[in-house]
Amino acid sequence: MANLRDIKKRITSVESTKQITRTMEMVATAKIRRATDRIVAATPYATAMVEVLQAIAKRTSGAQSPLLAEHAEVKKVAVIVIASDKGLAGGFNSNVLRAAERYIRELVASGTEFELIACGKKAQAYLNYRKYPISLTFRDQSADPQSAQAREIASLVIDEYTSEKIDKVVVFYNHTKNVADQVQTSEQILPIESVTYHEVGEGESEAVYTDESAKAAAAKSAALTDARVAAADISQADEMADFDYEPSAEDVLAVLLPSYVETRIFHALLDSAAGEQGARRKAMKAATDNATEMVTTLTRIYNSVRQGAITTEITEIVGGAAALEE
Amino acid sequence: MICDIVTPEKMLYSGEAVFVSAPAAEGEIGFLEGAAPLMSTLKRGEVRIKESDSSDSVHFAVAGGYLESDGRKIVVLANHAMNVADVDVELSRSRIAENEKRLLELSPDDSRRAFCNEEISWQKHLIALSER
Repeated sequence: MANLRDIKKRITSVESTKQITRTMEMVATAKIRRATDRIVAATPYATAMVEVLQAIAKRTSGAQSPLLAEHAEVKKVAVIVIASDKGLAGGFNSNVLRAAERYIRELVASGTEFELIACGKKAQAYLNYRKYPISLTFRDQSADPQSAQAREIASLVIDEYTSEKIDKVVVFYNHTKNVADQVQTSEQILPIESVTYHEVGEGESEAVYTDESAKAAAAKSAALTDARVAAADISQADEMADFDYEPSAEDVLAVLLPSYVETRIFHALLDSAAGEQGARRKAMKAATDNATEMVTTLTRIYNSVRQGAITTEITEIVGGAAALEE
Repeated sequence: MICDIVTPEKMLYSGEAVFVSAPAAEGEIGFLEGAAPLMSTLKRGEVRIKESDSSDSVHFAVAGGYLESDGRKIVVLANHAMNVADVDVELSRSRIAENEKRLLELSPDDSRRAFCNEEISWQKHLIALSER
């Protein structure tokens, strides 16, 4: 049987692990709030942009922007993989990385070339280890994505797409369904598939909200989305028709499409950042619960071992005393 | 008249204004209450907002995006925007140096150059406006 001191040592060690996981859980909870706030802050830009694009798309008949044009043959695909910088977030990274790798394997099998953009240390490490070439890497930004990062990715893929170096751009990331759940998602960024542009607004309105004020903001952004869709359907086409476009509606569209690509990438980064915190909180909560359970079990063992030792000692004393009497 | 300046990250500015001037596609445009509806792409330049007749203008460096005005509300949707008063020249200089260094390392037809060039010109724009 294990000796008392060893058990005591283990209890102390599990206790301190528990303290760490519980702290991490609380930190993640606080960060979810911040990540959510950032999504809410990014909403006005996204909704305004979608609004305008919809209005212009109605005026221009199938604008000939190179970003809308599909390439006849897909020879090379750019894959943007968004994971996190830090682990300890359950299946958060492995889900998205595995999905991305499966996709890369399919590309290789079909003889298509690929190019990788890795966001987050974990993505970089995973892809590097498997000797996949990476053309752009971002580190230490996964928890707090900046628009410059999205701009850099967008600028790269747009340049390559328009110069026909690549024929398709796909992004792999974790979409935050709610505080506890992340869904591994992949989206096609280029060519831009439709001019309905619903994704941006929708993503925002179903994002995660942890407290009342954030909920209010969510309701507001959902209302915005609804209003936007309704307006786009009925009045906006007429209303927008009165606008003077400078230089022309087509030119405005041509300028806005790259920004739209950027917005979608930025949104994926923000979405993933919120998901990372959610996943970490969930993982750390599970770890804390497990630690608590383990401490209970160990304490029970400790007590029974101690009791056993005491009993043995008493039996020995009583036995000894009895032997002396005789 | 309401004026909003929106960037991908956040609503940078939103407030009442009596006069707004912005760098539109075909030149600097000034807006007063009731101006004709206009939608224009935005060039690199400066948005000036006069909040009331007696106040000084607030200056924002902007680049890329578009502006939309319906006479009652102006929305400036900028890819880059920053209050000129908040520009940190030292930081901008270091960004420029950083990107120039990267450019040296990249081959001439590398698609990553576009971003570096854009970043450099934006930072130079910021410095130019803040040192004026």
